[in-house]
Amino acid sequence: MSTGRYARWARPALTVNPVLLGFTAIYVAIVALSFVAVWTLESRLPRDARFLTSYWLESELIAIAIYLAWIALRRHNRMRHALETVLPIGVCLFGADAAGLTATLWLNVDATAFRMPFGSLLGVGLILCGSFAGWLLGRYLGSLAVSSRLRREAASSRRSAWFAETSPDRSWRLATGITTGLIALGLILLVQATSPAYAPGSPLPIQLLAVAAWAFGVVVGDQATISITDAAIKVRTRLLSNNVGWSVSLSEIDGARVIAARPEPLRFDRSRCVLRTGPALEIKTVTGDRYAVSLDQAGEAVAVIEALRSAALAG
Amino acid sequence: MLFEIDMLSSAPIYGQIAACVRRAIAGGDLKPGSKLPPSRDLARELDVNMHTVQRAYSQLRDEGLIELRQGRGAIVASGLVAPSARLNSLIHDLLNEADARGLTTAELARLMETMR
Repeated sequence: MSTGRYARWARPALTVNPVLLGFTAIYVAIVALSFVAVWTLESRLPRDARFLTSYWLESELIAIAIYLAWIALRRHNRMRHALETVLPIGVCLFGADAAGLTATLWLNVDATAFRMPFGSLLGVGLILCGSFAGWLLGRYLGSLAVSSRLRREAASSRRSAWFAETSPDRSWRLATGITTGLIALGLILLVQATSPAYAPGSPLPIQLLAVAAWAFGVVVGDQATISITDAAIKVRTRLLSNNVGWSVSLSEIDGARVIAARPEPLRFDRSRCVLRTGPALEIKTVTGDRYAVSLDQAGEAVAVIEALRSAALAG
Repeated sequence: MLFEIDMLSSAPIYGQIAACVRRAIAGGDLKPGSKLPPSRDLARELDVNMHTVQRAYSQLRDEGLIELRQGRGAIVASGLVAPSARLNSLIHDLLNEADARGLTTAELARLMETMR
């Protein structure tokens, strides 16, 4: 069977996930342009300018490979539900890298010795601004990416929305602390052992401080907002750990029930937004996937979902 | 809490949103200090303009039912006491009737004052 002008894998990838494909294409373009910028300015940079490509850009090739692998996955949803996560984190990294590279070039053009940007306020400020701008843009793009999937199917005159919030308890803070600590320790040890590029101007204390600030922000400031409408169920976590947020359209739901759940360290399942030990709402989709969120009013949420599904079937 | 609106209703949308909050407060579902959803989120989920939700919240603030605090959003006013179940039922009926006739809570309260 002919697939037209697309390769056999490209057409389903475009159909199922055009946003992720576009995102990866932009990523590739930015990294390629960055390499060109470094090579163009090479004659005006100090001798150790090779750190520029090894520090800022070569690791990006690994990220590009990961995104391409996600696109190529033969799963029915192919990251469709994860775009709200991938885009904020991914574009945040774009921003940090682009700002970091710009700051490094700025500091090193016509300089006699190579300097990393962490030693100057300008460099650190640029990287933070780049990261934040990227995160904001990614969050906006992520919400756009899912809005079409979760749109109301019919122009119904009646609209409903149910809201609730869940805040984390001590068990979640403990699980997150253990997970973050172990990952950070492993990464720092790996980087220190294998990458000589990290030596100049990037001491271990700065990395530890950055990780500690991130972990503190997540542990102290996070909470989840649950909204149930006649179009979809959405779970969003605040700021840094939005990686456990999820959304499922009402038409994809096969059933809802109340379960008992508890946070578990080193469990990387973004469909389980378990922020406390206790009752949780569990959604089963028609494809067999399960999604959960901690919710004190889980029984009420199940009743609302069932009522909305009944109304949709009747309508 | 559950918000329900009917786009074909003769009652304005902001009035319907405000009525949902009034009912929840009267029924004891929303206690003093409870947070209402941010107007941006509620507008997105109901597919209505954010200013419509803000107008509903402003009306509720003017009625003394909620407080709008910078950075904290809309919060049910402290000092509100949930009435008894019998009174709840009567208030529900009265509010529904007032909604259907396009009366605000303030106008309803004035009407009740004149009848005393």
